[in-house]
Amino acid sequence: MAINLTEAAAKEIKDIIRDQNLPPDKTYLRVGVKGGGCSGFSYMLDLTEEPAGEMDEQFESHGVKILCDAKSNLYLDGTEIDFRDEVMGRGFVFKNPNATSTCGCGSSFQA
Amino acid sequence: MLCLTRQVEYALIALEHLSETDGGLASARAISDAHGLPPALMMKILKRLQSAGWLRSVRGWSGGYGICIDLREVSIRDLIEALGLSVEPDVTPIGRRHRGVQALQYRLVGFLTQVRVWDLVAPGRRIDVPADLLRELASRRRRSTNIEHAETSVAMVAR
Repeated sequence: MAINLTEAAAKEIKDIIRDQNLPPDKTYLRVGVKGGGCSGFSYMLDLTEEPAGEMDEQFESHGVKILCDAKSNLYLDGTEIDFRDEVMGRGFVFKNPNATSTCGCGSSFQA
Repeated sequence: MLCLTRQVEYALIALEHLSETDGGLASARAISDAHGLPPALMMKILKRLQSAGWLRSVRGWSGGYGICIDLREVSIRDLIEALGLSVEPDVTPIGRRHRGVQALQYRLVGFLTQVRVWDLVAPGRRIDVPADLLRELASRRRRSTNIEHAETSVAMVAR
């Protein structure tokens, strides 16, 4: 299992990399979880030029290089990250098979 | 100016509740208790939506109200009108002569006509990480990298 992006999510990330003049071949999408939120954990995304560390898992999806620390990967393994642009908001949605519940605001989940 | 009334707010909450309920039925009391809303107003709203053909009513122990239309086919404007309210802007006589006010009202009504009720009440609708947040993080990273490069250049020139 791995962490994957939908085509829409990959496109949005590549657009952000291009718009921010970040080097596309050296920029990684860092994916993670942190404690907090009304349901327990929150999802994190960041763009970084730091390559994978010893404790990082590395993936690639639709041309985007993804890094995830080992601890976060326990909670995110098998996740698909989608992108939506709707009335409810514009951003990334984590379809996480490990999440047992998600709070109504969407910002945190239980595992 | 146009504004969303309490009836519209509570109607959206009721429709979201019914969309998420197993079996699709819930009483006015159950909905109002679940969300801390006044039961009498909730009953009035549900009856209006039933009269407008949006909800069906089932009697009995496990009865209640249920959605009987496709919420993808109706807009917020339709909801406002189903509640017996007017979507026409409450513009003052002075405002009616002001092109900017009229343009804004036109846009607001257009927006309410465009947004589907389903987009606001569908179960599981959420955004986990806003795109703007990732964009802002990337922008800050680029600015700090540029500052580092600039400082390095200044240090090299100084030597």
